[in-house]
Amino acid sequence: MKIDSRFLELTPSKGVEFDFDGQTVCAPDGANLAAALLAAGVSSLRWNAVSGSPRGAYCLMGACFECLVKIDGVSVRACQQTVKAGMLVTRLNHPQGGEHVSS
Amino acid sequence: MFPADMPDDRDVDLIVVGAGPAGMAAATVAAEAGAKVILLDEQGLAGGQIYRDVERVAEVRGDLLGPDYVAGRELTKRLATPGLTHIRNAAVWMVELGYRVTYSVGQTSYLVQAPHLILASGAIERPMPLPGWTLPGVMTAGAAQILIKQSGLALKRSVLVGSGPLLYLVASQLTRAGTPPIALLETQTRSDFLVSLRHVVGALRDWRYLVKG
Repeated sequence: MKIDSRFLELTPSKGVEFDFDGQTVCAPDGANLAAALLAAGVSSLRWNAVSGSPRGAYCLMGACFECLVKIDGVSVRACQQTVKAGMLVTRLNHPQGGEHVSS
Repeated sequence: MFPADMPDDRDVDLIVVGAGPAGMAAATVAAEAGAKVILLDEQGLAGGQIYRDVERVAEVRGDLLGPDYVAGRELTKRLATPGLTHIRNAAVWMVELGYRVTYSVGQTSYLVQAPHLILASGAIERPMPLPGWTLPGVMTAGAAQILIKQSGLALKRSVLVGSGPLLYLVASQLTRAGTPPIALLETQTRSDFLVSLRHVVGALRDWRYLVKG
């Protein structure tokens, strides 16, 4: 399912693929993970453990922790990570029927 | 544990936390004066948020981001000063008297010690909580600018809400990028404006800053 990106890509390029909740996302090699996911049409990066409400990248400078995801099983801030080919990214507290990813 | 690339970490004069404009300047000046300096920064490239990724991005998007941004390269170049060690992707998480500074790179933690410590850890804008502010897609003006700088992503059909010069800078950069915001909602009220009028004379004294704004 293709979702219209909410972003204008100033220098479009795709290079590597990684796994995001079972779907393949394509992004420039070395791209910032949070930015790559936003560009792929994903805005919900986790669900609040208490309320279940969705959260997304908020400050993009490592301060707010709203973009927490798991990479290969370790909880990290997506905005502080670099995309690597074949990495396994999963979302925390994913409810049924989460977002689809375009690539 | 000590990082492998440090010959003798206990023989450091100064630790600087944060490789933004202030941290880079402090570390460089100290190293140029002969001090042995460790500069710890959480990002992969020096620059902080102001000069985010400037070494890589200045050539790609320097025109869009403007001369004030590109000027950051002058600071990052000087990080090559002998005696200065720039440690990237380092998250500082503890400071003890001494000063003993503990930080992590990936899943490994390190300890460095120096008689002097400068914290230049930067700032984040003060958000204005209102219903819906945690919804995915809502972000700070700084975040919108980081997306432009680091990733070349410009928000399409955005609404900017708040006050202060950063918001106007983001609006002008988005416009220059070809995707102007739908609206900019200035939250400063008429009375805020009147109260700040008494600072006009002081502001005019530093007219260069005003022109920049």
